[in-house]
Amino acid sequence: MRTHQYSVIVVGGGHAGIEAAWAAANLLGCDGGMPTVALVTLDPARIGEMSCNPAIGGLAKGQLVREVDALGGMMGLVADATGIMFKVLNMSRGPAVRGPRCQSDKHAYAACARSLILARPEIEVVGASVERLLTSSRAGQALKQIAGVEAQLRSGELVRLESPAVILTTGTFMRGLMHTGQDKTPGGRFGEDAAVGISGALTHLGFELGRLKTGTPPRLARSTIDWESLPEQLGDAEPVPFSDLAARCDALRETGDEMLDGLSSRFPVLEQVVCRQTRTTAASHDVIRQNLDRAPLFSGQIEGAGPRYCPSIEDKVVRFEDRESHGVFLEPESLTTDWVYCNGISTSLPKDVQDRIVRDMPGCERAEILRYGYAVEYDMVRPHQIHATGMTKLVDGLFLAGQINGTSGYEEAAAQGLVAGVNAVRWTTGGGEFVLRRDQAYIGVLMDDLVTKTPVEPYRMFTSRAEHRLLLRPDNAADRLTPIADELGLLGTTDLGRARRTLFAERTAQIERLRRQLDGLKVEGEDFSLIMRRAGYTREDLTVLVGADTFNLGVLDTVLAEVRYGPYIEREHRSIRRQSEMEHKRIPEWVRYDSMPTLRNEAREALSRFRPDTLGQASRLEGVTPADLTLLTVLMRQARNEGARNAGDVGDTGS
Amino acid sequence: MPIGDTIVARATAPGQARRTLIRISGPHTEDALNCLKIDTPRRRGAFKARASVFGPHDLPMLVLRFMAPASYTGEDAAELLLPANDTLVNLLIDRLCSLDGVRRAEAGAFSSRAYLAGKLSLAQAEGVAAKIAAESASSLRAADRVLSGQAGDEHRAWADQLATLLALVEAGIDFTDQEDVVSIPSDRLRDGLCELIDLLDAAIGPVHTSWSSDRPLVALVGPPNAGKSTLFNALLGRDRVVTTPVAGTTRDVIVEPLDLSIANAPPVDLADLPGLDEHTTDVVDQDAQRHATAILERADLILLCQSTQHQDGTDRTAELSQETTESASSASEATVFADVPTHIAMLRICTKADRHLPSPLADLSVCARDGWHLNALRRHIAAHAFGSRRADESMLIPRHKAHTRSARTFLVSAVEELTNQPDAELLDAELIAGFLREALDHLGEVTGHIAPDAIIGRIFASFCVGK
Repeated sequence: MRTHQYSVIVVGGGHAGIEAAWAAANLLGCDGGMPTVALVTLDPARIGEMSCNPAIGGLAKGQLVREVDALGGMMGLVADATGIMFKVLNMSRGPAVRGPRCQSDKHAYAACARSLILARPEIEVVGASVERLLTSSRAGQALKQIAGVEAQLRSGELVRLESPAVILTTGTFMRGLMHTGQDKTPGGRFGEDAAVGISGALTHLGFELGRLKTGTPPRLARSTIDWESLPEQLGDAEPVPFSDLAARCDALRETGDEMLDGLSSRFPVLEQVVCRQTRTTAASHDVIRQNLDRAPLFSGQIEGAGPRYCPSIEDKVVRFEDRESHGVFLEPESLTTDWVYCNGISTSLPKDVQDRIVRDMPGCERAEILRYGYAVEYDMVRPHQIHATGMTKLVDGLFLAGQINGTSGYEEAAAQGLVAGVNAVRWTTGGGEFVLRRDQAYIGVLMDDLVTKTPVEPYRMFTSRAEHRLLLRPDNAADRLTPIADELGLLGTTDLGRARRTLFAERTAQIERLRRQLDGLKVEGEDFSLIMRRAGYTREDLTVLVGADTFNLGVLDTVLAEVRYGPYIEREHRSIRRQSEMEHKRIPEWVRYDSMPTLRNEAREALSRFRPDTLGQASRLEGVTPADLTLLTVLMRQARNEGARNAGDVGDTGS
Repeated sequence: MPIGDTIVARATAPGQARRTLIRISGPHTEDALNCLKIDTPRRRGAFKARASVFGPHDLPMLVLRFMAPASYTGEDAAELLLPANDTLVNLLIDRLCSLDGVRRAEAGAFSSRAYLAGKLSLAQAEGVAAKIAAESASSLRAADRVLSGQAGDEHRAWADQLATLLALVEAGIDFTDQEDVVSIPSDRLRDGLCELIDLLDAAIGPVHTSWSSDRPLVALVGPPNAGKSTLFNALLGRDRVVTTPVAGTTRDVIVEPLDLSIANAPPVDLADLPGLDEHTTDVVDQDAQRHATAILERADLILLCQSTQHQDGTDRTAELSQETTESASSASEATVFADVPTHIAMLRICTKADRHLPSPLADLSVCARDGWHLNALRRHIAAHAFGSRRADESMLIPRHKAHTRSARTFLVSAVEELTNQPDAELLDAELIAGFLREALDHLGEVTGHIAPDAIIGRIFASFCVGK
């Protein structure tokens, strides 16, 4: 069997996989031209595919994209290059809870992502299915260590890919099973196979798996919709990009970096489109009710739990039975095809029922369904089995990212991919753990929630999950994270990264200058900060004061938000400082909860199951009260003292 | 209960002893001493020191210093022995608690730390806890309520009510892209919050006052210019409040500790309330009236003062006797005392009395000017103020009370923020949500934390989310 060696192997070419490979490549740099990262995917032609809604960002998700971008990730760049309708959601609300979002040309998006990946000399794309996970056990080490994967190339040949770090991003493909009515087809996405071997390998290694479900709506042919008759859904008149690098790539291109070919010097790059709105009818709701016995969701054919925030149309009709109609948004999927995504009627009902639902919608009486909706069930690894770095607690060097951890959404996947990619490299090269705090980033909230909560549905980010959301704004993502990215080494290896560094230095200088200019300023005798704090004071008002074109818009937004939230932010910082000591206190690995009889049963069970890394994580476990934590710290201290007395008996690695 | 913080509390009963002991324990003990500019060696021992409270080094005290682990709690600790003066002690503790990482200790906190540090056995710790609880009958009752789960149920109901409101606010932030979701109008939210604040108030008593005390509260009540303030000053033995012949001079509630000078009778708090019948439109006065009503609700004994003189000095004994004989709904008494709670012990005092004329309407006639019957009044207070503490007065054990009070503070901040908003449309939803979240976290210290997931779950239950 042929054998290849890499620093990091990424399994899966979706949004988690490409971001993981990208981050790993950013850290590793180009090592004499030999690829150091393998990206193993079933079909290399479908890297970066948007399986469901062709949109990036939204409430809380837009913050994640901004954060991934601030850390040198690719999602923001690709979204900016391929967006066909940009809109910042919640514009009437405060700056912390606005959500940048775009509709994407799904084909352009995948093509752009693929070309960025292929342009990286550090990354080798391997078209293969992973059949086995290779592990090794070292003497004196309790945990197994990952050694690589065995994969079957599309030619049928088995190859051995070796690496001390493997990142699994299997999406919906692990034992994926698609449902349309009573029809069941194995596969992770329409027209693609399922990944069967990995589930077995993980079970064999001792992982506890779970099963989730998600769904997708029918796609229609736009030429068969009475498009012009339907109400319009417009994007923002002045689109705002995700990345500060948008429209800045011209100067960079002169460096001859082929990575930048997919990016552009203008924004928006693509022609902008208009979406349309229609609705379901009472008549089709009746048809749905009559056919519930044929709906896999209700007939018991689907075992996995689906997301409550994205219910199928049959779910909505059952749960909100007095509603006569549900809104449906018709979103063009691409500039180059006729396909339209029906946002709002995700379904696994049989095809004849889908026909009725669609043709009852105003404007869609003659609509042709290009692809029927379906539900997909897939295996996940229950995420209490990973650390906040993405590495599993059972196998050293094995990382999980994306839907395999029970999340949903491209943005959540990308964020985890980035975290796993960075940590995989640091695992192999000896850096410390890269874990963002809950008060630093939505990415920190995401990873912390994953390792402390039992998922009951695919996890999606909301701003209300972030207790420090006034700090975690889309406008200041770079301020929060770009210095960290630079310190990690994510920016130093590419022209793109170095361009980010330069832009960030500019931004920091501008912010300083603007703060100085506004400090102590009075307008007609009134303290200017009080004026700025008023609701209704906008960036435009500030622009009039400081002069147009002197500051970047993002700089104005940040300074405005800082003043507006000033007193509240101050309070949050105080409460963060108060909690920080307990929050970051490590729980040593040698702690045995079953030898702590004074702990309440419920607390002991939760702690044994999750094995939290810190007291902060422990405090967020369901079933653990503040009193339990206090007792735990004392028991830890006692155990350590006893350990010290019986030196040698306990492998105390300290904390 | 974050480990690693430092706790502070008064270790002697308020009011009686001549010296007060303040106990500090935790890693910030040294910072706490530094903040008072107390300069003592960093070793175990007793040291004379001077603290800076109002001015530089103006307060002499004895400092007992303990270094971890050789202390009661096993932590760095100090005890400050200083002159007993409630105001001073409160000020000092407040100042210490303003330091990062320093907070007021809940009842039993020192003992629980001692237990956790292995300094006390569980049985010993429980013994201490029982003793703490037994210091007053009402706190025993409160502890019973906690044990029986009754108090927890209440907190759960409040937390539930608050979580629902928070979900409605969060829905207007996180799900505005959903056609089905409408933000809660600010007036509806305000009403909901005020209702909740009332419930918390009923459980904790008047938190509007900056003073908090375990002493019985005796309130002077009556129509304007009934001589309440004159009597107040006379009982205290000093001119604490300004008195004039003009009706309605007293605008604010004033509360002072009163030593009854009677053997075995502990001190009480004496409150002088503004006349309650003023149909005032002045905002400040309205506020004072609200404050007065709240105090009244909490009182253990009401001294209902009536003057036998008209404002012009003429006698109105006959008038008064006629009013009372007519009916209880007689106009003047009904308006004047409409707000006086009926379940509180009450003593009718005839002020400005001429001792030569008997007063048929009063339990006691007094003359504040020459001190006639003041001692009798003190005995009456001692006899009535302690027997009548209302059963529900201390519904909460101290730790629960502290968190309930903090929750209330955040709710009030939210209501204030809402009051500044002219529109029915909810503005600054993320700031309002922040206050509600903090309030909910405090209630959660009693009931168990309500995670964001639970809030999001409520949104899914009430709105059709998902397009």
